Amino acid sequence: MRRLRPLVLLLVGAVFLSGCTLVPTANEATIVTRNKVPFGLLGQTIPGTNNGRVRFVTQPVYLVDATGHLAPSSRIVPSPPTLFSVLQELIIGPTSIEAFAGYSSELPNNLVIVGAVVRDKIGYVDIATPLSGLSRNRQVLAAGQLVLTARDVGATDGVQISVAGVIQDVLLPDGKKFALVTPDDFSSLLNP
Amino acid sequence: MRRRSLRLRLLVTFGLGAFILSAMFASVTYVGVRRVLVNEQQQTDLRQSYSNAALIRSTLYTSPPDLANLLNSIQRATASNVLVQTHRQWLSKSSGAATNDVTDSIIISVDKGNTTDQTLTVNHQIIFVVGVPIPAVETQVFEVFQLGGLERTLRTLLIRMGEGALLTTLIGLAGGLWVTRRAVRPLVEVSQAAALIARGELTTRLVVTKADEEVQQLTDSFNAMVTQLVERIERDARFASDVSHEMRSPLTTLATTASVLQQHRDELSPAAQESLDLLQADLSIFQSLVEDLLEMARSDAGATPLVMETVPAVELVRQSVRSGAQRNGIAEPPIEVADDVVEPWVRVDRRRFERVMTNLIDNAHRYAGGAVAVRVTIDEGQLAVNVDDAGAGIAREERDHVFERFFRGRASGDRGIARGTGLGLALVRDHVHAFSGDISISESPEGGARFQILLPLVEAVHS
Amino acid sequence: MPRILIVEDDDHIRTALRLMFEGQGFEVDDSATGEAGVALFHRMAADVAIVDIMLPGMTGFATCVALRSASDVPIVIVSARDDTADVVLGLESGADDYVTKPFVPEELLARVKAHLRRRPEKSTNAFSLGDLHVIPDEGVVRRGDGSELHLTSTEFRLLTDLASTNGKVLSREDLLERVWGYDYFGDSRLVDVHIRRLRTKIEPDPASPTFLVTVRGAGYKLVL
Repeated sequence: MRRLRPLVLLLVGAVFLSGCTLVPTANEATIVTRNKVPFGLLGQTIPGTNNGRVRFVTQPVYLVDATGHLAPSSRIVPSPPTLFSVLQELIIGPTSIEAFAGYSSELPNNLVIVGAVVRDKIGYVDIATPLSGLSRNRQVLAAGQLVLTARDVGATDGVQISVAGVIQDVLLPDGKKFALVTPDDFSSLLNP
Repeated sequence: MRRRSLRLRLLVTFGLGAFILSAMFASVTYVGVRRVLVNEQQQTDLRQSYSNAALIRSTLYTSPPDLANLLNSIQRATASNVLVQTHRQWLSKSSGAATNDVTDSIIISVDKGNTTDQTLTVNHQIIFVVGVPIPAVETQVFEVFQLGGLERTLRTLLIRMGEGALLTTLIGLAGGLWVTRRAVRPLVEVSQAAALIARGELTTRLVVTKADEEVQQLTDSFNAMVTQLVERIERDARFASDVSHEMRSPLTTLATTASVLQQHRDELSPAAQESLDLLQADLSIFQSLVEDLLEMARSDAGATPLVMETVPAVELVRQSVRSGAQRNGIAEPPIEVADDVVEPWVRVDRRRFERVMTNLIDNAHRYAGGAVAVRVTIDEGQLAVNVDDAGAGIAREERDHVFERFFRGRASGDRGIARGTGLGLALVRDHVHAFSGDISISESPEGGARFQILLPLVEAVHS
Repeated sequence: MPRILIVEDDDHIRTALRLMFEGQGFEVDDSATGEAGVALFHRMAADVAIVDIMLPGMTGFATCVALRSASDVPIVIVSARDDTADVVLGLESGADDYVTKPFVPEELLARVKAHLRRRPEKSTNAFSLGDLHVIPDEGVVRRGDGSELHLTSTEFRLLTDLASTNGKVLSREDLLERVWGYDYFGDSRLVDVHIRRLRTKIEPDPASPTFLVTVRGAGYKLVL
């Protein structure tokens, strides 16, 4: 009995300690078996749709960099990218990383894009509030952001901005105003 | 070797046993419950992840811009954070989400198309991260669940189980205490009874009321044993007594007829005279032997009660020595009383004390040429009566044995003197002990033996 | 020649005793039973008697009583046992002394002779106890009406010894030595029983003695 005693104590200690940690953590991730995952999440298409799927592409949006020029930054948008969805990304403004890098956006954050479509390589953007409320420089930059971003979505021949259906004149860098503005008009604002 | 207490060992075993059992039980229960709770939590969280993933898929399909809002509303509703990644870049996340929560190993695994989960600790927080790949929308959804609540539950459970184990151990100890006491009590009682019996209280028996079978057996056996022993002792004493008794009548005749022969001594031839003398001498020994035997037997069986009286010691010694010497026809040894002896009183049975002195003086006469003196002193608050002789003394190794019955020391073989009965000194010791005194042997100032009787002093009794 | 009555049922002991006492100049009457002994005594009054306690038929005690009622002769009882009950009973029955077997024959002889010799001290004057008149010289006690109160020699000796001290207390040991000639270790039961016997004879109320008083822790004294 004497000799068994330390052994017994050890056993008890071990049993006791093994249960002592609370929630067990793991060093390695565990894989859940495929057939336990419901809703057909792991399928290639979305169930209940006609082979519906979503793809993402990266798409540049144009922001204002630290030097005050327009510069592109990548965003991920669902494919195929629509002017509307891309412009939504533009409106969000710089991410924290971009902001850290000095990027900013002259477009007001609360700007609402009512509608945006591309027809015959021209983008028609309808916004809720006019840009004319901004200062001249900012107006120009803001418009530039819009136009260049739209160009990369297919509006290569230009953009027409309207406010509640009323076509607006957009201020260009050289001071002129036009209803339909092209990407070339703002090329001067780009970072060389 | 240190003697261990049976009670202690039993108690420790009980306590330890209770502790081990309850600890094992608590551990096993805890581990089991924990597994169940953790599993359930995981399953719930997984299901939630799947639901959210389906929602996210649907949103991405129908209105991608609403993704951020969806994630935030999920977080508000369920307090878990959701992050959505595509092309290895974070597409969107709920406002409280931290990308650090999603470890690289999870991301890699999910990238390979596996639904993955992991429980890990980040910043001292335990989280459960689930990663679900949604190939249909080319994204990976990660949901981070806080397990703080589960932790709290488990901690409470652990504490409760610990308390339970402790309580059980204490109860076990208490139970052990009760059981050991009950179990050990019979042993204690037996040992107490045995001690009493060894001391001479032969009427001691074990009394048991409604005991267990084993204890009852022990009690019965013990009592039977004691009864047997007592009977044997009494039988032996009775036998010695009966034998001595029976010898009385023939002895009386022998003594008387020898006396008659002595009266007619002149009519006998010298050879006859010598024979008669021898006859009478041995008859005398025989008589003493019978008396001693009888006295011994009675003393053994406790038959003759002591008549204790408180008497002046010096007077007692004087009278005892005188009558003892007279009885055996020997010269009375001088009595020397030390100066510091002032009116000591002792409590003795007078007759037996006289027997004691008689025997000692007789002993000195037989083996050492007579007692030189009887010296009375006070020794450490006790009365000391020393019978000193100038004989050969008694060897150290024999000093304890001379008081044994029928002991024949070296001295008895040396001289051709008449032997004693062999019981004289044994009786002396018995009687002295009966007076609560003690007797010992040492050397007398004359170089012979000193028999010293020590008696406790008592208060004088004056009428 | 003094005459001795021996009542002893053991043939050998009786024969040995007879031989011994005859050798010492006694006339010996011996019998094996109490009845025969009493009858013998009536025919030839002995001067001293030895009676064994253990007798068949008429017991030793009864024998003592019978002998005592007939005379004041000294009786020595012989007992195999030292039991207080036996001894006291024997003494109460009228015996003056007792010895236990096995006795030293010379000792028995000496005691018998002592009892024979026992005559009260002539030096004591006559004295009175109530209406009893004690005359040591003559060895008699007379009642007021002139009749004689019979005391055994031992009882008489005891009474006169106590009287001779003029009211001083005598311890049991003293009395044993003076009356029976015993040493320090004699049996004080002898004294107690004899005192009791004396009281029944001389005290008006033996239960509350006025003459022979006990002095606790010391002994007895005679109040004259």
